Amino acid sequence: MHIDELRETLAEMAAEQPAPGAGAESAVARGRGRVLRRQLSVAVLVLAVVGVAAGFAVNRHDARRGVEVSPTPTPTPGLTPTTAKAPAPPPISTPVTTPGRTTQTRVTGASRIIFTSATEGWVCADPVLHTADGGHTWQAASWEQGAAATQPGFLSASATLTCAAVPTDAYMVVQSPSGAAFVVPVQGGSDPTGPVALPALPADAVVTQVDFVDRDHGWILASAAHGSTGQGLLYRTRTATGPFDPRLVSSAAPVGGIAFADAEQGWGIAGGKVERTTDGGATWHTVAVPSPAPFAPELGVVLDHVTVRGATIVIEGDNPSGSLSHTFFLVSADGGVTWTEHSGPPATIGTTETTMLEVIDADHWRFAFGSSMWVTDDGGSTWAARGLPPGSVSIAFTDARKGWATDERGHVTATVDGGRTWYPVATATQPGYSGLAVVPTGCPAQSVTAPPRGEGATEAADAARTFLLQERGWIGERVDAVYPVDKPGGQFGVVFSTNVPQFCGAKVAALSYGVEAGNPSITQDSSRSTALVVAHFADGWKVWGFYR
Amino acid sequence: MGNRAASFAAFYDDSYPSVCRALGVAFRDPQIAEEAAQEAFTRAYVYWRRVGRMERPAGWVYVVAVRHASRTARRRVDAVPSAVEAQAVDFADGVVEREALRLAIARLPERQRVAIVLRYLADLPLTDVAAAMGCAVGTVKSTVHAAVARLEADLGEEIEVNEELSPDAY
Repeated sequence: MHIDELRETLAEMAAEQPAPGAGAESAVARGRGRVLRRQLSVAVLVLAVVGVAAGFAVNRHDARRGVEVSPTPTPTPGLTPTTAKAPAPPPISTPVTTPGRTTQTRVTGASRIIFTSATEGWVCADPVLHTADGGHTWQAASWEQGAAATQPGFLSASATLTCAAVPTDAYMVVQSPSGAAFVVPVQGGSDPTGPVALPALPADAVVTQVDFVDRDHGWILASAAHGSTGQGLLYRTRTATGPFDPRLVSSAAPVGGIAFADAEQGWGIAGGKVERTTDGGATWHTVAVPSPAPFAPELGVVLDHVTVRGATIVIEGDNPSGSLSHTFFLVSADGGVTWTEHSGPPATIGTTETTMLEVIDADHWRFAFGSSMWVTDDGGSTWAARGLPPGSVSIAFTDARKGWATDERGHVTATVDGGRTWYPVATATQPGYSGLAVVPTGCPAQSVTAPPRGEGATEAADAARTFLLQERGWIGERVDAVYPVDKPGGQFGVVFSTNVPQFCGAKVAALSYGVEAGNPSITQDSSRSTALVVAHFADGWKVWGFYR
Repeated sequence: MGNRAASFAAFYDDSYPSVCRALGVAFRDPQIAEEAAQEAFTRAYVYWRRVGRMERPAGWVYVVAVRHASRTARRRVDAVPSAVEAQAVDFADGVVEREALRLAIARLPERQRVAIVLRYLADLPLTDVAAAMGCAVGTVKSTVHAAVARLEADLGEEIEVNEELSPDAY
């Protein structure tokens, strides 16, 4: 008897097994439940600390300012529903109309923020946001839907957005729930008439990545998840020699991700392997790189992202154990000739958390997840903790200090001090200064207090290496903000701050109320009990504050 | 449906039935099989960011599912020791060669049956089978070898295996 007969018999026995009844949704629901439970358990722990601090803060604040005290305990910010709404602020945002589109006041589906120079930046979202002045102002970029508008679900909440940008253009790929995908050139794209359809994708293929090195050379990676091995479908666009025309160049591209250095040289990852192409993505070959031994053999080691900056190639990998992830980086500074392995920051990363890596240059990287950001200025050898606005899905830095982040709703926040503090940026579809508070590095968690009546709170659970934001909404129920001013001698402004003299256990050298000079967005408004508080600390500006 | 859910759903639709049925053969208990498959796919969804990028996501699911099923089966055998043996007798009425092979497979010790199911039905590489069974690759080889030898003894004929199953052969 040949072994194949044993295989056939086993297959027959398998076919005779009862048909499994559960659909994917049951596993998805159970999986989401587990993720939610994990997140809630962390949140409850954090909020318990905030809640204790909040009660302390309310008592102190009310005693000092004579504000009416609610007889009920302060609601836990961000978790417990409350009926005590803040007064509605006057309308700030102006509806934005883009050609061929309906009036829109909200941004949805933001997936990535990109800066292609010190002044030019993009947020991949609907609508695409664009800045040409270094992120100070953002506008919704215009584009035509064209034939794509006839696709069911095109640009609906269930459509997926992926994008890349070069200095003059952004290229967004929109995939409708039906699977049809379109490349949308935005502002200066070679096809100003509207989106260009991607060739028909397999039924289960999902566009996962877009990469452009210039206007004429871009790649779109789609992943088909069928079978035991994923299939990477790579489309290449060329505009130099004709119309914008994405064509399939490889059906065996690295399914895990790609990054191109120029029109021909590129890198990719698939599972635990690194692959390279020298012909624009048509063919790929595996490159030997060092890899750590897996902590958990059943989980293995996975390479997550590849980033190319000139001759520097940085590959982010995960070595999971249990429910935790241990990040490592494989780095080549010589175009892939030699590789070194670096451990990631000593941070606890849940295996479901999305990580964000920004490689500014060979030495300066920013690595973020959750509400944490870690920085290295020596190519991954050492790391220092910074913060990140919670909910951020993408970060971008133009140098070691200036950076931006966006959440899924296109709320852009910025930092000018390398991530120590962040402030909201006004965009065409969002008011600025909309509910962000920060805790400076080194601030012990116990001394961070909640604002009156739980209108918002920020809390640092790990000696302020990271900070959390609890917000109550953006428009109509917003809390105002803390922000640094990006200019020499600038100040941090705080709206309606309390307990500042005891803030973070640091001694406040001076405390003043007023309106920050040169910033008309925040004004003193007695009807809304708004005030600007500036806390002067001996070693710089340490701020905390809220608006209600 | 987002990228994650869509790609997971496609993977689930493609792999869930085969995983479930293979486990049914290996553990000879459809309830244990489906429960283990559900657990494995649930974990796959939780970890989908990395599992989805693995070269063999189905292999990962098999590893998790087999480990879960093994624990469950062990508890149930401990609680009701006669249940599995009683089922095994149901296969004993076949007379043709294929039926004899089925019977012989059913009579294999569970560990040997799991090994040949993962190797010859799920087509997992030996390293994945070893991970699923919590042992060394060499142990997997010897387990598969023992299973084949036992089938040969039951059937009275040699089974031609086109791979080296010596524990020392890598």
